[in-house]
Amino acid sequence: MSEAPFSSNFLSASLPDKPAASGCFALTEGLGGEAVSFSLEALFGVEALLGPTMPQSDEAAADFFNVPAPVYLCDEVTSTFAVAHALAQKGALPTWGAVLAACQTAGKGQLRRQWQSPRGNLYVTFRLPDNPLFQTSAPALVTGVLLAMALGRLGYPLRLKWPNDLLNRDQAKAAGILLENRGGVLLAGVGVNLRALPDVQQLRRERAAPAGLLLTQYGEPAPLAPFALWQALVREAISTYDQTFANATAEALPDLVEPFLTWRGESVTVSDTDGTLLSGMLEGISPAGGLCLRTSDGRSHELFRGSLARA
Amino acid sequence: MSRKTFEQVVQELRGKPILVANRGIPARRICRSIRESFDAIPVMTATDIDKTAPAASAAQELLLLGENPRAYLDLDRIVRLAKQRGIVAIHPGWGFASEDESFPRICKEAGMIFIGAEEEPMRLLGNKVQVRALAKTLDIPVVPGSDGAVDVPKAREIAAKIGFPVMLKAEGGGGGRGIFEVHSEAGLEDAFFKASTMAQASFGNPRVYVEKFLTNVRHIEIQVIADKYGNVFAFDERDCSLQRNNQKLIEITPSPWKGLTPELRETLKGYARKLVLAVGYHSVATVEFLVTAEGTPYLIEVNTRLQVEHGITECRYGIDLVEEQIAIAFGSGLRFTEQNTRPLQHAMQVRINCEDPQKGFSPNSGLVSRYVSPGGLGVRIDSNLSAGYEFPSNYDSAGALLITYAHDWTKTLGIMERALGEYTVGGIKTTIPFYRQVLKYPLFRQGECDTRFIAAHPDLMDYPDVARESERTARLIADISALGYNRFVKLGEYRTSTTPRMPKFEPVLPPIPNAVRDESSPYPRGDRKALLSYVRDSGFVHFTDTTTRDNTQSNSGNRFRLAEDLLVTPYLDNCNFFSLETGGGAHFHVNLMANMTSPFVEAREMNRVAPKTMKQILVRSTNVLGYRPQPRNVMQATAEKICEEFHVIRSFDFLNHIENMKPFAEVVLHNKGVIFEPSLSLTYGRGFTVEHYLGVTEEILRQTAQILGSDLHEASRNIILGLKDMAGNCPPHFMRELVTALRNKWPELVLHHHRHYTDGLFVPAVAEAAKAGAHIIDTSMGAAMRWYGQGEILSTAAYLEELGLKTNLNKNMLRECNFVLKQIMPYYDRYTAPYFQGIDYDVVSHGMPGGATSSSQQGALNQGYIHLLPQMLRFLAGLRQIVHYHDVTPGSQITWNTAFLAVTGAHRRGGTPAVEHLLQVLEHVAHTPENELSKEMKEARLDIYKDCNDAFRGLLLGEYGKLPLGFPPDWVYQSVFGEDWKNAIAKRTEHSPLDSLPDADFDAERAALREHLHRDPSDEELLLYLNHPADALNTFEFRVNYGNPNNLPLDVWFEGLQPGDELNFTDSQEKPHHLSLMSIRKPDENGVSIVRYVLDSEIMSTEVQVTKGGAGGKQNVSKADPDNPYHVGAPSNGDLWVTYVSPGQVVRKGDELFNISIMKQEKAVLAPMDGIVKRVLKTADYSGSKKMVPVREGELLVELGPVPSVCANPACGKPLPADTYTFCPYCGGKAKSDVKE
Repeated sequence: MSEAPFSSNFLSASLPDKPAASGCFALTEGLGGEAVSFSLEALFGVEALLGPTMPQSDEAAADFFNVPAPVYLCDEVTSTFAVAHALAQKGALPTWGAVLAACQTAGKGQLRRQWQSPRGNLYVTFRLPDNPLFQTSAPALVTGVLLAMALGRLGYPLRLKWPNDLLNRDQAKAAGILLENRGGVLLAGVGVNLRALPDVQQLRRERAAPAGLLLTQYGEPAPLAPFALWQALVREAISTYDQTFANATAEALPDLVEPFLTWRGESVTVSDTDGTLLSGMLEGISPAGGLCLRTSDGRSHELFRGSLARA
Repeated sequence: MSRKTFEQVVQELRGKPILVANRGIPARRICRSIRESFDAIPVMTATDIDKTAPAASAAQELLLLGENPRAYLDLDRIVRLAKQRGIVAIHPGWGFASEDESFPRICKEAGMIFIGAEEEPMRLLGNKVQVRALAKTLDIPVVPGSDGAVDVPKAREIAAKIGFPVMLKAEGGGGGRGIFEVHSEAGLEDAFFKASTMAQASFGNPRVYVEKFLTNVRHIEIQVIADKYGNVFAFDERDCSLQRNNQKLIEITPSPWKGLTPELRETLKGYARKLVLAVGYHSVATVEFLVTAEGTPYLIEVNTRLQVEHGITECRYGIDLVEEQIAIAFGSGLRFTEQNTRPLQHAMQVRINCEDPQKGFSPNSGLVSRYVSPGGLGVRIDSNLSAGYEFPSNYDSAGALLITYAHDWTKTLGIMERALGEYTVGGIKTTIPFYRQVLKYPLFRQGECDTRFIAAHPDLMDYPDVARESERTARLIADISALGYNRFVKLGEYRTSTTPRMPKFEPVLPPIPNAVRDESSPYPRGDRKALLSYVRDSGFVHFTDTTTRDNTQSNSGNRFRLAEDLLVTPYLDNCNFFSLETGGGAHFHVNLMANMTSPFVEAREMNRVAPKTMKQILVRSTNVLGYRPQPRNVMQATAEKICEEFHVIRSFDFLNHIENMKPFAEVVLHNKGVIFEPSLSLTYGRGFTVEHYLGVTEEILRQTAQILGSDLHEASRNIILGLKDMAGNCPPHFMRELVTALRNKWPELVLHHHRHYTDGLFVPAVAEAAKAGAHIIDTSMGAAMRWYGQGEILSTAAYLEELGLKTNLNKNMLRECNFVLKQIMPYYDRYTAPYFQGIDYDVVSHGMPGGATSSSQQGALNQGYIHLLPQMLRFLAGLRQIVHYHDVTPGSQITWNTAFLAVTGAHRRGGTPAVEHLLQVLEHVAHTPENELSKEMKEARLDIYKDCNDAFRGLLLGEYGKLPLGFPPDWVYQSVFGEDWKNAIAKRTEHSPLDSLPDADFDAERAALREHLHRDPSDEELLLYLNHPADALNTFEFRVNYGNPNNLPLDVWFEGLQPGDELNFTDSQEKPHHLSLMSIRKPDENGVSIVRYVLDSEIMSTEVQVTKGGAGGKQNVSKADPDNPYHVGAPSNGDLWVTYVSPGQVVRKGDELFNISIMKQEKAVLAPMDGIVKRVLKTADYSGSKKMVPVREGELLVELGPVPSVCANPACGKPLPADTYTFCPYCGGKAKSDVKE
């Protein structure tokens, strides 16, 4: 093990006594994801998150590790959700606090589907603010838009496939979001494909969009390490949230979402898990976050479930 | 008790009640012996669910246990009730409490005979660890391993001694559960931890022991029976090697395996006898061994009860084990001796379980819609199934035990194959089709399969599980009849079961005279040049009939079926048409989506009944038959297939980007028997001049020349040029000018004019074209001609003749054809006609093509925007002045959506004034030169495309190909892309989308399709799937479930039948069938209606989901009482996708009970306190069943109760489900320390 070129003040290896306002912490996940322990060794396991260039001085490190909310860095975890839940239980995960992992052995997709987690991508779980907009029936949709806006401002234009897949300019899924609400703590898990695409063989057959990388508006892959992306993203997300979301109510949801919504006005199908299929024109979003679909028999449907695809 | 004879026992039991404390197959099996052997009264326990089960019919009386499905486990209660009834003896069956050592004692205390062993011998043989110790003292080999439960170091030590691989087995496990394989030292500790945790969770006992993991082993067992006087008889072995996850599926006696020698058999029997005698055991028992490939046996366990597979031993020996077991329990001496009990037959049993082998053997339950059991020589069935039985989900999935027996193994196999072929269980999935696969396997037939056989042969799961076609057709009729409408045609709920009906469809088909039939077509076939010369030089105007394609596409939503095509096409074949347009366009995909008929099958069938006339198809350049660009290799493969079935191939591109047709052109032009007809997409509007189209024509010829390696002149002699006016908005004078110019420039180019009727000017327009020299005209039959398709043939021909042009039609045959169509069309008019009908002259400005004229406007109506329709049409007209392309798929959809979104968007923001304003801006901008526009107007026009969708964005970026008149002005990009507009302009391209489209991976797609079909797809199926994956699967799936839709007469197709109706139909093999609809039951609370009918004299039923049960509040949902802390409700509306708890389970505060998914948010619902789960009202297991259960906010899902007392056994310590428990259901030990033995 080699010495860090900077003092470890910037990358703490001990658990904060009370919720930290900010700072970076290197930690290892304990057995079964329940306990979380902190170690200096972990610091060198997270290189994959930090990128190739480690800061070479305290000054550079202060900048490098500057985050608006605490970030816990892990190498390999079962799932960032597991670690985040454990931290939240200990009271160590304030709003916007996040757990980043270099890879996950049991990354969580929707309904226990596996979120394949090869190294090189961003896997983060963070705590959402306790805000009326996130207590509607559609916090996942709100999170999707928030991230689409924030990533858009960072130069990665994305469109939102209802409820919250983020598609890049090639209509490929560059990011997935899953929310877990456990004991009143609302966590968002986000996977962003930066470098590595999941193995096509293992992807869900009925998926509606292929997997793709996060692309700039020029179509180039984002040139960032996962930590750097998160650092920028969380900052942007917080400011976007403060400007646009903090005081918004459910009525504002359609106006927030629809500019990002893909396939609007087009023929789409929504397939339910029981195999039923509804086709029609995608009209937009209801204030409750449901998908508004007009079927050819003229009926309007507000859907809260199902998998959306282009007809 | 003194030794009795069998006859004495019979005398003693006559008329006495004997209880079977069990359900289902074992209860039925045992009741049968009680009645037939002893003339006693068979009594059976039954919970409410089982009261009317088929198995209950075997009992003379039922001992009712009430609504709790788990009541079979409550021995104290059962014995108490039995005593009240005066039961003399209890048989435990198998499963449930059959191996509970306390059962004999509880019976004894209550003064009843337990039909089974006594407590102590049962305990000594039944406990795996004890029997192992006993076996060692008797020199019976056991599987090497630990002598009891171990810890990690001990496990490591033993593993080192006996060598890897080893197994870690739960002490409390059984039936193949709780077993972990460990293949190396490294994995031991981890596996130990897992096995122990799992054991604790599953059996309430964390203790595990180590055993050598034996590979290539067979599961061989010996049935023994012993009386109370030291007599024991061992039967020949049963080979139970065919297992899945250590669960037996097939059992055979004697073993067909060559390694099972007479010596080995005797050895095993000897071991079995020794064990039974050593502990003074009486009754039946089974001693189980694993036997290695070399023939070395190891004892694994002893089952101290009757076993599921006992029937094959009975068949081998011609005996009744249950009868003997009962007699022995009453003190009879064992009657079987080596002299009087000889093995005579070979026998095998398959366990028919209600499971879906193709979905990991997941159990399923539900209505058995059809039940036909096999019969004949050598068949025995013990079942709990019958037609109409609602197979419950509360118990195991055993549906029936099918045994066949014969004098040798081969015959036994033959009977089993035959019996499985006869056996029909409809409505639910069973293992029957899976066994048919197993029986085909040579390895199985040779007796060479070990316990890993199923795991090692995943191909066993590849079989189509399909009912007979007549049955599938009947199911379809039931579905349509119950709903009153055909949901598969996807036209919404167009009628109900009480809507007045059309008359029965019984078409009168006039004969086609042989003289006409024998006349050959004037058009040369198979030689492109000869054909084109004939068309050019014949002096006739030629006709293509579009009745079965474009006409139905434009007027009947493409719902015209193959069934009706086959009625009409023979007449069309004799009218002297140049060609019949029968395929392509939207027809292709709607055929798969709503007619469930492969377009290629349709083409073949039509060629069969109409062999004389050429068939024509329409393809959409890069999109071929779909709605977005297809990879080159898909285009080529599709083109090759199309060339097999069609003779004239018309292709168009909505941008006239000729390069987009190239892959297709290459295939078709290299096929000399087929004619390529590249087409000009025509519209009438600014910029689309005759000169412009002459330019496009030259491009077409240049590409053709390049492919053929010829000059332009020669190219013009090798193709037909289509003139395709999709909207029908080119005025007659324009057609005259265009055709005249084309004929002058390319005198030998054959021209084929296609136009729609929409503007009402069909006849004058095509007449001008024909007069100017167009060779072929598209028309449709008068009886089918409506509003938006092609014009009518006879009137068109009459006018052309008046103009002095010649035609070569057989007009008599046209009239006959019209007569047939007259009988067909009323049904389509009634159910598939467009909402808006009639001439729409405004098409000249709005430009919506064919059927889209009505369907898009109907869309506006349906979506509540009828008041904005005039504005939308004006908007369309305006848009066409700004961005130029042709009004046909997909362009027409793009334009419509753009207008629709702009108008409704403006309306949402500012009502009608905002719409009017936007329109004024648009119209002003469209008609004013750029330099005359004010600054304000330049600002205002940016609102025009503000609401456009991705498709329009893609069009502007060039994703569909090159725009025919070049890119629109920059301000359009500003309006569409906002701040990002410069990037958009930088990004746009004029390359063909084909250039950037990677080839499809046929192998991967084939593999994907294979997964859906469970068999190898044909090349044709793969092609359908490549072109339209979802719709192709729709057809494949429909066919599997409902057969060939063309079997139904037209009225039944749309309306179904009424109770009392009779229907004769023929299946695809021309086999006649008869169906009589008996009843359609009112929907139950879940919205399901049961339809009963007689199909070919067999009564059947089908469940149809008629209403969306529950959603309308019809379903009774219990609400969680907010004041009751034990009630746990759904936190919000959503879908329950996983339930972690089941009744009786103890939970700790904070344990996750279930999880609700709502739009990708997963809400964990945690136990609010420590407690025991009393009720679980809804459960789901998405990862297994792929089903979610909708729940309403506040709906009670789990009810908890206070924590009960805990088991006295400190090693267990599990909370007991109730205070009344004497024995712990988890560890089996005493539940309370004060209970005496």
